[in-house]
Parts: sequence; structure tokens; C-alpha cells
Amino acid sequence: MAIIVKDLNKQYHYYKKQAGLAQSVKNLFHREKLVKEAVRNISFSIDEGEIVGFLGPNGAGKTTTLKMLSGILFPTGGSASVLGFTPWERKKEFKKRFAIVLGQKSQLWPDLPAYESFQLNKAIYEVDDRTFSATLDELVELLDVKELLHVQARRLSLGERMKMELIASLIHRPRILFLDEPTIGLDVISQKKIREFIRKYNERFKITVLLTSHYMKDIEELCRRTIVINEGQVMFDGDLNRIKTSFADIKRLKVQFAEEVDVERLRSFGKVTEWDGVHATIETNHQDVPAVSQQLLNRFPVLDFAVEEQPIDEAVAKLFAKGG
Amino acid sequence: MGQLVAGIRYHMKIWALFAKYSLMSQMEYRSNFLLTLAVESCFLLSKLIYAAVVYKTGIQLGGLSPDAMFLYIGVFILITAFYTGLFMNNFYRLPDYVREGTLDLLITKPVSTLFMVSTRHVDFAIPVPNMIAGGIIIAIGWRRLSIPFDFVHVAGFAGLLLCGVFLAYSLYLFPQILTFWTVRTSAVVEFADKAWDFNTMPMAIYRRWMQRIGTSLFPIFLIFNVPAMFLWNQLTWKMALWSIAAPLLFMGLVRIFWNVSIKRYSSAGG
Repeated sequence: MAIIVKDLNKQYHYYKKQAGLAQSVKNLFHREKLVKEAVRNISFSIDEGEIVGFLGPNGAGKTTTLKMLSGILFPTGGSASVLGFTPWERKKEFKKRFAIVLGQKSQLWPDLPAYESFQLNKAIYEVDDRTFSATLDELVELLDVKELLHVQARRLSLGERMKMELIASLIHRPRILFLDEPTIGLDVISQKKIREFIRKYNERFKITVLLTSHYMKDIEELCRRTIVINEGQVMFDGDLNRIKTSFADIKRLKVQFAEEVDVERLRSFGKVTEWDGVHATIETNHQDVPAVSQQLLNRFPVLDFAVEEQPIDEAVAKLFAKGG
Repeated sequence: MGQLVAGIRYHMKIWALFAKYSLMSQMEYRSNFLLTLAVESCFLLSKLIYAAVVYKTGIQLGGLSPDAMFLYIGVFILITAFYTGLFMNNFYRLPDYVREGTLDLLITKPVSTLFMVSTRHVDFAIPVPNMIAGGIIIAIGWRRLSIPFDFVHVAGFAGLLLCGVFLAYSLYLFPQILTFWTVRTSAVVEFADKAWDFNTMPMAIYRRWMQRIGTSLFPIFLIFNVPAMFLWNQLTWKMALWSIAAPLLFMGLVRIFWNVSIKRYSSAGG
């Protein structure tokens, strides 16, 4: 196992602060201390070479978990083993074997070409010249950024910068890669390129990847396994497609009528989510689809009819709502 | 021993890269770089005028001759230049690193986070004029006081200067580390910065109890006075040993304080 997490939890202390000057003065003398449980006793394990998606709404505890697994934060309780190391002991040997990319933070020197930052990481990770050249060549080829190596980091587009962040993180050939929102703010094409790179790199080097993202597409395309986390707790752990059957086994019937139909009559077939008189979308349970379809076709002047899966992001949103 | 040498070489190599990248980054904004050099040279001129006035009045302060005072002013300017160039900017950035979560990526690197945080940025425009001027003033004072220019004096002076720089590093890092507890540290830092100015004059001008505090509990007087006292031939063995031990002691204490404090780091936006 590359990662084993057992009953990991993290609490933050903060103070209640109400609006207004009077409250600020009051706060100067007395503060009501509150505790936020960012992560609540989560447990999971990840095999070497797996790509696992970490999915959850803002404030769910994804990034906090990632930061504990990379040794940035100390947990309040529980245990974790990453490649046999306890991350928050911050041993040098451990740090040499993983990398973390934080989508909203940069390790590049903004006023210098990214190549200089790679050179710095070469020195920090004590990578020898030959390995450095070979790794850099491979990464540059995979990401197609040869022309950008000598452009100042601050002049790069967001997508180009993220490619350089990935190179800087992988120059020491880590065994585990933590990715926190690597595609945040990127356009669709850049997102796709980053995803392709992660997939290819994982295939070629069998690196273990733990990825958080708000973009369902990242998770759908890259991760066979997804851990859904909400309010600090693991809500689901498994194949993303199973979320649909486990938590929201719903099909969507899209119907076009030859003439206007009464919405009240449609409601007896399921939940009407869209209706404009001649078009309607009805949600119903998976097992009711044959019966509902037959009745709709028999009772209404149907011109067109389609059965659709519920989009995965809606299924996940329902799961989040259930958790909340 | 071999491990220690390898460790020093490793850190020096990274520090050299930090210095190179800092210089390259600063020269990217050449107008600002040149302007800072010019402004700092003007500030320096005012310090030189002050040194000249002290010298010309011929007043003896704390039993020190104008030539000895001149030498002391040189030491003060030189150590201040080293401190501002190598560490000060890094220390001032620490509260921002903590507040904005910038420390995240630095913590994950396989090199001491304290080393990364305190040496990452080297300033060149501010200290260079001061280093040149400080060096020149020391050379003039040295010559006028007829101090022998031999290995013992040069090596002893350089060694004690280095101890002063490391003591300044340890002492002035303490208030910034409070950021892990209080987030903002400006009040304590301002107090510490004001304490720095006590050293514009040699400690001999202060009362005995102040000298005691300034050389023991909060040994800011050691930073600047000891190298000068060595050249004035006023340094006792006891004081010499303490000025070598103090940087080691306070470096150890600041490391312990750092290790305890960084456990409180809560990052940002997690």
C-alpha cells in the first residue's frame, strides 16, 4: 500500500466575530472560541500506481487531508502512513519521495524562466546531472513546452504555468503525486492537456496520484476510484459510476409532444424538472422506466422520446446535499 | 565530520542559488534596482556625515577616542548591511507566508524549512553601498588606530564579525516566529527594530545595568561591540568566549522555538 489513513482528524480553532465596531471592541477583551472539525476520522488506503480522485464541495476537508498526507499540517488525531513514513514527521527521505502541486500556489520564481526553478529543485533534491537532463527531456516532450523553458514564469499563461509547476514537481521522480486542483481556472483545452499528461505519466511511471478537483471531468477521465468527502467525512469510496446507482438511481425521460399537454397530468409519472407545454423532462426511478415510458407513449401524442442517464455531477451534488 | 561538511556544502550551494536568483530577479526591474542603489547611497552619505561630525568634534564618548568611534561606526554599518541584505527581508516576509499559506510548498522541500524561509531572498541594492562604506570606514579607523594588519587581528575580527551577524540572525528571528501564535507581529518587531538603534553608539556610553542586560539576557550589544572591542584591545577572554557561545546558544533556542511554533501552522484556504 502506498497510502494508509486511519481515523485521521483535524480540528481548527477560530473565533466568532460579529459585524460592527462594538463587537470588535468586545472581541478585544473576550473571544468566543469555536472548533471546526475540518476532517473527521477518515480512513482509506491507496495502492501503488492508483489514481484516486478526491471529490467534495468547498470546505469538505479535501485539501486539509492532502496537506496532512504531505506533512504540511499536523493532524489532531489518527494516523497515516505514506510510503511507510508518517508524513508530519517531515523526514528528508520522505520529502524526496513525493511531490505536491497546489493549483493556487506556485513554486516558480516569477521573474525568472521556469528552467531556473527546475535547477533549484535539482540542487534541493540532489538530482544528478544525467537524471535531471533525462527527466527534463521526458517531461518537456510529454507536455510539449520546449519553447517555454526560457520564458519568465510570470509571462506564461495559466495553463503554461501549470505545466511548468508539474515539471518542477516531478523533476526528482517522486513515487507519489498529490494534486490539489491542478486545472483550476484553466480553459477547456488546457484542462484536457493536463489530464492527458497525468494519465500518460501514470501509465509510464506507475506513480500513485491523489487528485482533488472541482471539475468532474478531471475525476471522470482520470480516476477509476473516487473518494467523496463532505463535512470532513468519507461519504463514498469506489467507482464514480456507482454513485449513480448507490445514491441516485434516477433516469431522465425527455419527451416532445405533438400538442400542448397539462403539466399536472405529467406529475403522476415522476418529478417534472422541465416543462414548456410541448417539451418535458421527467425524472423517475431506474426500475420504473419501462412502465412509465409505455404509459406516456400510450396516453400522450408523443413526437420524440429519449431516456438519459442522470449527469454524474448532479448525482454527486445530491450526495453532497445528503451529507449536508 | 564528513556529514557535517557535506551538509554545509549542500546548504551553501542552495544559498548561492538563492543569491543568484535574487540578484537576477532584482535586475529584472532595473529602474527600481538602480534607484534603490542611488537612494541607499544618499542615506549612506548622511551616515558618513554623522561619522565625520563625531570625528571632527574630537569628543571622547565613554572613554573612546574619535578614531575608535570611527571604527565602531564602520562595524555598525557593515553588520547592518549583512543583516539587511541576507536576512531582514526574509524575516519580514514570514508573517505573510503564514497568513497566506505560502509556507505550504516550502515545508514539503527536503531541506530545513527554517533555512528556506530565512535565506530565500538576498537583497543586493540596499546593502552593497553600506558594505563598501562600512569596509572603507573600518579600514580608515584601523589605520589611524595603528592596529597591526596581521592574521590574528584580521581573522579574529572577521570571526567575531561573523558571530555578530549570526547573533543578529538568531535574535531578530525570534519576534518574527511569534507570527505562528499571533499572526501579526508588527508591535514586537518594531520594538526589536528600535533596540537595534541602541547600537548606533558603543555600549560604553550606557549605564552599567543596561550594558549587563544588553550583553546577557538580550545580547544586542554583543553584535556590534565585540568585533570593535577586539580591535581596541578591550575584549576580555570571558566576553570573547561568550560572544562565540551566544550565537550558538541563541541559534539553538531559535530552532527549538521554530520547531514548536511551526506545529501551529494551519496553512490557508484548506
